[in-house]
Amino acid sequence: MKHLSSPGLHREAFRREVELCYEARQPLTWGEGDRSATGSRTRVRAPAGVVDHWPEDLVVRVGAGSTFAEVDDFLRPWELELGVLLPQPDRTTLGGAFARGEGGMTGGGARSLRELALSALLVEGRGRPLELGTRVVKNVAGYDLLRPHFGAGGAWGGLCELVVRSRSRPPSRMLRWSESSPQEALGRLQQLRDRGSTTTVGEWWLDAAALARLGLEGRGGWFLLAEGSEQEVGAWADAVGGEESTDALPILRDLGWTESSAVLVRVFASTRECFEGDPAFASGGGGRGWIHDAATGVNRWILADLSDLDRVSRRLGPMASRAFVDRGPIPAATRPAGGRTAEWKGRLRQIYDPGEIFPPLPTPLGP
Amino acid sequence: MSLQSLLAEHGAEWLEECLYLDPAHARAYAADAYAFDSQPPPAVFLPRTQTELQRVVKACVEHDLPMAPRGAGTGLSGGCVSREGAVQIGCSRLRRIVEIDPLDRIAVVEAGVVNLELSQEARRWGLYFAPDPSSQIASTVGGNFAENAGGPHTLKYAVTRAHVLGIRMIDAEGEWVELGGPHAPMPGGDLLGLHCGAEGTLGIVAELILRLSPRARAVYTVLAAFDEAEDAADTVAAIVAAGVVPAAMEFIDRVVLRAVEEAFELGLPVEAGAVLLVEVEGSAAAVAAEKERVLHECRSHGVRQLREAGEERERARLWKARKHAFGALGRLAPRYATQDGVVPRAEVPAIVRRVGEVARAHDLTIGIVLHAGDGNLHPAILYDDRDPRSVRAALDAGHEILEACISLGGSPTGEHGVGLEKRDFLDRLWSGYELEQMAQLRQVFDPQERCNPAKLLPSGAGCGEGRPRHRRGILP
Repeated sequence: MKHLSSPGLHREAFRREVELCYEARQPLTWGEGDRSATGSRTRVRAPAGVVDHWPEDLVVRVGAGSTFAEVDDFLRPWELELGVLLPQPDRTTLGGAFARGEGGMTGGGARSLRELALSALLVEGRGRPLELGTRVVKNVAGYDLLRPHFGAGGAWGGLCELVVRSRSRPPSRMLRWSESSPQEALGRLQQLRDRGSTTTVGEWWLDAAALARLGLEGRGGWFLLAEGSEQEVGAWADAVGGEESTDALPILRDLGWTESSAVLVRVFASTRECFEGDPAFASGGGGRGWIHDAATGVNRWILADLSDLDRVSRRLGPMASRAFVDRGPIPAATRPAGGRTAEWKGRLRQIYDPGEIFPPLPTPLGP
Repeated sequence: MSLQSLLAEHGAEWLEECLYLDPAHARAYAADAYAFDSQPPPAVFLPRTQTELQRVVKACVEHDLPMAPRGAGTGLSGGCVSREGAVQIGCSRLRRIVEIDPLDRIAVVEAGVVNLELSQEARRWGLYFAPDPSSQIASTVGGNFAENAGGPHTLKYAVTRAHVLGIRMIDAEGEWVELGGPHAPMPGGDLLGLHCGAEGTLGIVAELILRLSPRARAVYTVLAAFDEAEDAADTVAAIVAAGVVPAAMEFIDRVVLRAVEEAFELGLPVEAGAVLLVEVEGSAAAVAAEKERVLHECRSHGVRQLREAGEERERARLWKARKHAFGALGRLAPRYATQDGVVPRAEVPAIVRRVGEVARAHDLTIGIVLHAGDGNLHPAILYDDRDPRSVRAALDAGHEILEACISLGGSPTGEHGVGLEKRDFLDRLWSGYELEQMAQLRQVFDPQERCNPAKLLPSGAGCGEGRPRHRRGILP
């Protein structure tokens, strides 16, 4: 990926497209993917390319339509990377991931895309540009206008450019796994953590169906990912034990995303919530695979089709209010939650999208 | 409607137990750590439970009384100081650590829990709460959330927002609202992230779900002394460029160094122009590798002395030089004002030079402490509050430093907040339209502006004209 030759022109073109939609009250949808199955929407794509790069600050400004793979390729000569592990990095754009609320699979907190994003250029519903934040890593000058857009699905504006932190590329990376049934999962995770300490950057539990897709057999199992120097990762491997799983990381990362017919659901629930109440819950309820991310409390559920989705909704019970379809049809029963937060979000929509041309906010499977 | 009508209606026992109207309390709650402004609140409420907190807020709503929430009062921008007749609602009695779950690595705590106490409690499981503002011995997690507090270790572990998973708050109508949960933020718009750093203007937080982090197995701390402050500043960017992101990298200049040494006799190299306090942590192997790279960059930039912390006691002594720096400055002048600005890391040498120029221009002494890895500087401007010219010079110097931060691509506040102090500084950073968006956003959550009135936004928010914008703009 190269520098955008004329970022000003790209910005103006993006802004103008939104403005035209506003003037015509023409609904639009953003770049990659289209969750809105109804109506005809104009697709507006954010520019792709590097706008500016400050390697000494570990900060890069890119068009929001740039993919993770493109940005990582650009950063490689400086031995830098974004360090965000997401499915299909060659197709997933930074703007799309931010709008979907995808923090990444390697840990939460400081490593989440939510935190790596320092600022953005956003175009609101009248086609006016807003600069949300600065390129410094700390800034509390006024309200954080960027953060509400994380996970908003582009309902409150379109991301044109993002300023994000980069980091040094770790010299070594290793994935190890050990079998564990859902019933044993809690104790086994604590053991692995006690031995692995801070070198571990990813902690995922896969059910039997997901394991099979990696060519592994078992009732389920924990996968741990470590990054660091070779010596450091070697010492970590000795401590956590298990088996090394070479070349499995891309498969694990993309599980389900390469199957065009699969329905993908994200369920937000902590390790204790998933395994303590009903350990069988984590076995997937007949789905094609279940991945639990212990560091972030994000679960990825791969389903065969819509009928699976109905079954899953019932199985989830109250947790359906924390389940979101990432790919696949949205059941008709889906409706936005009520209460005070819904009222606030409605008012935000009036500010950011007075012409009601943007896609709706993502809503959970259940109320 | 007024405080009197509230008292007439709610003069029951529960109010007597948490309401203070006497002048002594009003004086005690008149200010935070911001030196230039104070205002005794008409009443101070110190609720003991979350239920009591809600009753207080509801009573204030019913009687149309504005409210100024307060944690420990360690803020540096007047963020909790009463304005427009706001009653003070202190959360310092809400000190319960409700739960620590070592499996999910979360803590559920009340807003008045002191930052350091949480980390001490979590230590038994090998965990801690990563944000560590210099005030952590006293500041509360609720206050940390309101300010999106940072601290020396945010270079590696990020600011408070990254460590808050959920909150239970009382909104401007007195109703309970929960945002987030024991998991990553869900799709649907990140209102939790918006509330963090909102300085209590969108509601009052009663309880938080916090992310705990595993303690590092190994830590290496070194104090590197340089003859020239610029050499120390250059070393900061060089260390990061070498692929090391230290857990902390603090810059302390000669003025502060000497004050600390006089106060605490730590054996600091007082002849140095500046020192860097660098800390790397992780596994033993990682620390060993990063230590070598840090030392190499220090030597390449002409370090005159390296003092390594061989044991925990020595590490604590080195950190004392940083964490007690501002306390020591009180010996040098009747008063000092601490500023808070941010520049891109590569501009650290430029801002250090600029602070020196400002000091000379105003004939003031300014000490500099910097979270250098973040580019977050805290110049301490020494002045004499008995001399109006000295006060004026200190105010002007502070503003010039913040102007410089903005013109270098940074921000006028990195972790202390806007509060009262920087309200009318925001139009240097943001356009009128961006400020208008912020003002509208506030109306969404608190249309009556009951929660912490006259804070965070300029008095004329939405009217950004009048002052030139210094940020290097990219938009038409």
